[in-house]
Amino acid sequence: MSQSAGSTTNSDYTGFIAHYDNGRSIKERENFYSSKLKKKCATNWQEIDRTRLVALELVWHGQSKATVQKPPDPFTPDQWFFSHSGCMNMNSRKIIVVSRNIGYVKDGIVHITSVMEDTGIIRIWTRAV
Amino acid sequence: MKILVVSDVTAFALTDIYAGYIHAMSQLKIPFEVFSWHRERRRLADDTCWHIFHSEALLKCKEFTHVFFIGGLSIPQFLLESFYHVKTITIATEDPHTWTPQEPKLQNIDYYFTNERSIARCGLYKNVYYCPTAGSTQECSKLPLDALEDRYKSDILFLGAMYPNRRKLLESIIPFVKKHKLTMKICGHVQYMPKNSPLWEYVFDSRTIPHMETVKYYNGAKVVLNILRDIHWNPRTRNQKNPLKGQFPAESLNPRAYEVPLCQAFMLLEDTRPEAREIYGKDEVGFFSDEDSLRRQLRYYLIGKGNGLRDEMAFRAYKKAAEALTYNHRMLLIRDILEKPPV
Repeated sequence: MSQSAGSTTNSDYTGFIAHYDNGRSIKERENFYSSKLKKKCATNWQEIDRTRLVALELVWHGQSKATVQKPPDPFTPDQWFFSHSGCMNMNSRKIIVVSRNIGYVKDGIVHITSVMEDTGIIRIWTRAV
Repeated sequence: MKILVVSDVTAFALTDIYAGYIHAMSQLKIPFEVFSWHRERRRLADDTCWHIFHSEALLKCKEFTHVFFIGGLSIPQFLLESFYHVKTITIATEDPHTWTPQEPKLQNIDYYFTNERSIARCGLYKNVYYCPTAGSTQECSKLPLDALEDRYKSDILFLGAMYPNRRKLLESIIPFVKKHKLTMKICGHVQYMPKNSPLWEYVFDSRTIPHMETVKYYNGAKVVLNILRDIHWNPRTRNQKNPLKGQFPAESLNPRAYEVPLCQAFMLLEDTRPEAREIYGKDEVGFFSDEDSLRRQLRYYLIGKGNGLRDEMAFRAYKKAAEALTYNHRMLLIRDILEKPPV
């Protein structure tokens, strides 16, 4: 498994991109209407097919900040990790994303790469599953 | 496994190491409790504290299997002799070239983790293991430069106690600093510096710097110097020579070697100990061995072609430190050793 800093893309997109083995890629989206679940969801994470994933890429304001590549097998779909850390604005009741996290699980430890939403600072850390 | 953790009496110096291990245990979900009287240590007599600790460790309902001393220089012998059914672990945090690895106490300690590789490898002690110093991803982090106060910003930073070898190296770069009008800041203990040293001009903060501020100083510096201490010198002896020198060669690095990269700050590291080049590569940190190479490296990374390389190198060093050299990784190593069946 490798994690690396990446290059710049053109858009102002912030989120992670899931890269599939067939060359397709899916961008993470928020406030998403899932046709699969037939309801509005906070994210489109349910739509991401973990079995086809080969890489996760974190993009911050169009800039590729970090990538997690699929290592040689054995690696199960459950070993992929992605999440947000956030808090709630108590006035507007909106969720504020503080950091976006991607990573993988190995030997009961989650290896996480985070990008801070405000500053774009990269943080690499670990914790137990 | 359930661990009772206690820090040594010199609580201040160990704050970051103590916090690092506590954070690691909670992140790794290792069952533990901290000694509940920890905050009262300065008010209560030491013996009283150790007696309370002893009672707490042996409480049946708590089901502790291990007691975990961080530091461990001042653990009384009677305490170590009376931990029946509970294994004792010591994480040595003291300078291993100033303090012996507690030979008389070793027979009563089940696991002694030294921060000097040569002590663990010398083959003299069967219960001594090597656990290198580390940094904490919780305590050390990159801070946005525009959020830092100007007092934390510098071109060259040295933070630490001013031992004679460090003073000599720093004095040698004064002409370079003056010629190029660079800002050099010296922070930390300067009590060993002679009054006539030209370095006094650069002493910026002579307190024991709280850990949060060291992170700010590292973040605000273009180059952080990590000069390892000279093991031949000991301020506690009358002739200032270290009586223990040569017993164990100096091979391992100080905590600063992990904390600076974890702040994504650029480090110039002295490579006179083997671990320096074993752990970091040329594309991650700058290396120097003596006065000449230090000047060359400063010239290259501050005013030469290396000026634009510092950020990339610092990030590569950060990646290495964050992925393998933190207290979480050290705690995993310790857990593996503790879970191994005794030989």
